[in-house]
Amino acid sequence: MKLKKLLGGLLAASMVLSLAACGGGDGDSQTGGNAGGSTGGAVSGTEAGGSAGGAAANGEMPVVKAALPGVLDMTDYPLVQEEMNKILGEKYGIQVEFTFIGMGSWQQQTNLLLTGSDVDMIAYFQLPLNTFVSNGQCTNLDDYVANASDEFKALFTEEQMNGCKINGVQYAIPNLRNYGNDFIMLCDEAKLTELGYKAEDIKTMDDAEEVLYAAHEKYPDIYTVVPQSNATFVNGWTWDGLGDQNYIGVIGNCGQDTTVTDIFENPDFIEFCTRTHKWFEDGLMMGDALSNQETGNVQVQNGAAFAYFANSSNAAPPAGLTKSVIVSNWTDSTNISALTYGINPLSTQPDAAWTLLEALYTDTDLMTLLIDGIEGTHYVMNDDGSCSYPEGVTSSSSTYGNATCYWAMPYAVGVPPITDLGSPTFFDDLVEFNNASKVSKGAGFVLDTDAMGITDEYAACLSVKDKYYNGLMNGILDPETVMAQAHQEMVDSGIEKICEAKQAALDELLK
Amino acid sequence: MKKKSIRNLKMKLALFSMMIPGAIYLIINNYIPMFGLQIAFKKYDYSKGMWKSPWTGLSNFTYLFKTKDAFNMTRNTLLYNLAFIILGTVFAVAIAIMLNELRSAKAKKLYQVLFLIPYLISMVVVSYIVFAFLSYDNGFINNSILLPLGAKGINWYTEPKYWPFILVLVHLWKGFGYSSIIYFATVIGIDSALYEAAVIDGANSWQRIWHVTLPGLKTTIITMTLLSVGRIFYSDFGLFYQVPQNSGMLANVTQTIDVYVYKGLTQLNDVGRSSAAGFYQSIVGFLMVLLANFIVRKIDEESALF
Repeated sequence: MKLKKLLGGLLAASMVLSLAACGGGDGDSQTGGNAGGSTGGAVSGTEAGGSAGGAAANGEMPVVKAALPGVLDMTDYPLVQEEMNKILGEKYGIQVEFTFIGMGSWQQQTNLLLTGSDVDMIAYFQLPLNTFVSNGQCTNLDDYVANASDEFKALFTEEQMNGCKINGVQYAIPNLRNYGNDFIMLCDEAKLTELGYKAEDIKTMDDAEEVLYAAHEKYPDIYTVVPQSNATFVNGWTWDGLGDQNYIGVIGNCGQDTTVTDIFENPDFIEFCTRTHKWFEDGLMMGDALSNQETGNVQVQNGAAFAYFANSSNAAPPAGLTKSVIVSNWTDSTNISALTYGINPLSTQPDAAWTLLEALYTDTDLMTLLIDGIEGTHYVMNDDGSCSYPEGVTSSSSTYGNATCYWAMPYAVGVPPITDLGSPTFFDDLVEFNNASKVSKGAGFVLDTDAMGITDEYAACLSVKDKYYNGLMNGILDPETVMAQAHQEMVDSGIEKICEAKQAALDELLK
Repeated sequence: MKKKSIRNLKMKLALFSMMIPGAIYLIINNYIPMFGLQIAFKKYDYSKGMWKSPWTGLSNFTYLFKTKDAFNMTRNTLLYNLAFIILGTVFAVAIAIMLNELRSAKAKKLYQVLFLIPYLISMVVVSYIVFAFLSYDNGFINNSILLPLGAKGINWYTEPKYWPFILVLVHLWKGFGYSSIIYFATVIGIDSALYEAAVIDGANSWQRIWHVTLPGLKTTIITMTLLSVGRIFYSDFGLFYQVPQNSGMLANVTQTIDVYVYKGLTQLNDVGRSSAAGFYQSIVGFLMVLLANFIVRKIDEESALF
């Protein structure tokens, strides 16, 4: 008996002890800031001693914590942050503390950040905006947008702003990227010239096929076509998943059709895969495509492959490659909200966060600092209004490699574009490119699987789609036999219910 | 009488105090997080947090059972683990006994190190070793075996029928070193007097193994098996996700519960459903331990864990 009591007492005591320890831990993470961000691949803003000191000296100025995707090496960001804080303190009465998080760990790390108040302004990225909203990870921005400066309101068209509304509420602000996509074939420039073809003459899949067969003939030892990246043959084509990048229930013809079907019975998709399968049979394709870990770009530049297909903005092709537009500029229903900026609902200072957000969209000095870095250190101006890396520096060796990653930053018009982007008026051209893009009829479609009552079917269909989609796109599977089988499995998993629900929502949207 | 029990208590106090660090660790690491189990029954809302998110009953669980994959992934998880437990044990015990029969101490050490190396390699690296064998364009099997024989290369990563064997092979190769060392440690702990007695009685090597070594290993085998049975609903995520390179075509034979949950959740980002799957796994795992222990108790009461 005594033994049991003693044991109970010990358990209770240790429970109290550990609870106390946990409580202490919580307190630490609150005051320390960036507890989530400092683990793994993130560079945490707290290291920037300069800015913290500055904030203290300025008294009560709120410090807004912002989490942004960081692609390349960003070791110099504390210097940039310090420069930005000078402007922010003077003009806006706030300070900023950046956390740049790598793409690979973005989802996990931001998920953790959003469980607390360690971040105020954040990018919503890599999952549909609707998922963030339904998880309660976004703040209603209606009032902020209504009271924003005219300059801010003029940045986006109504259609573009509507693309970030869920159930009529503005939950996020789109950033400046290409919303529309050209679908292009990129070829090795030297080899293409040697074959006697011109990039601008290649306009259809038949043209492309002719060139590819010619290339295969002449260069049989390299891959003729490789995936765009990993196992993804090309990131989209002419089908639109209606608020859904997983393509569970699609409309074809660049989003101009109005009948929702299973991807595996979509004529565009079947035609595409029939063609790639022929290429595969004839030895043009990569047999290991499903376990490929490289980008097409790298493989073509290394001379290991001749061409790849990709989605693209108006940007110039990478060095040594040519670009031929096969499917011209269209915007699918998820593109506008694919990367957006908003405010963490748990933020203790949403007003200051909005001030920062608006400033990063409208203040050219701040935008230039954020994207290009510090003049003289990270870039030098050219006469034509573009900028270059200082001598001997490239995008990958720069200590503030954000200039080519404008597409992950809030806004860039007015910022001098880096020469790598191909044109001194690149950002203005980009806005034009977006405005000229053919918009899918499904634009503004919100896929709320919970509200539609199709969550379980969706999860089931997703795993069927994952099973066949890449194998078919890469030509490894024979559409003659596999397509029907894949469609049957989709039907068994409830695709018909999903298509019906999506069709009803689309009809409502088109009214 | 009283004095004695106080002294007894004092003595035990010392023992109990030694338990404190471990107990605290268990409580912090294993018991406190159990509050999180409620997430499985909630629609998790980040802005409201764990306690204030609305309850949704069992709706987070339905997707596990509604899908056509449910049967597949449960079958895969169970059968693979069963194969791993049985083949793994047989293999590891055999290796342990062979090690014990070796005369040279140097060879014993060398083999142990060699056996342990695969266990220490990360699954990601293993996946590339496997890929080096199975790659369609450049793999060893296609290029150095099948093509010279005049056969057509096989696209391994799209042919589900080979994968049960590949996965079992990889698992055994990677894991046998570790478990065989555990068994080997037990084998060398067996009283050598028993072997001497057996030799005097005229037992040959086989008989010594059968009548002395194996009975000596019985308790360890049962304990190890019980521990594995408790995890029969969990799968080695690295093995089933990394080694098949997440090839969709193989899903029917490589999709285990963990892989399914991981894929579903990285794409759907639904905390409630992932907790539900974890909850389901642990409940079933717990029942399996009870069941296995019950069976062991029926057969041989002394060997049961509790």
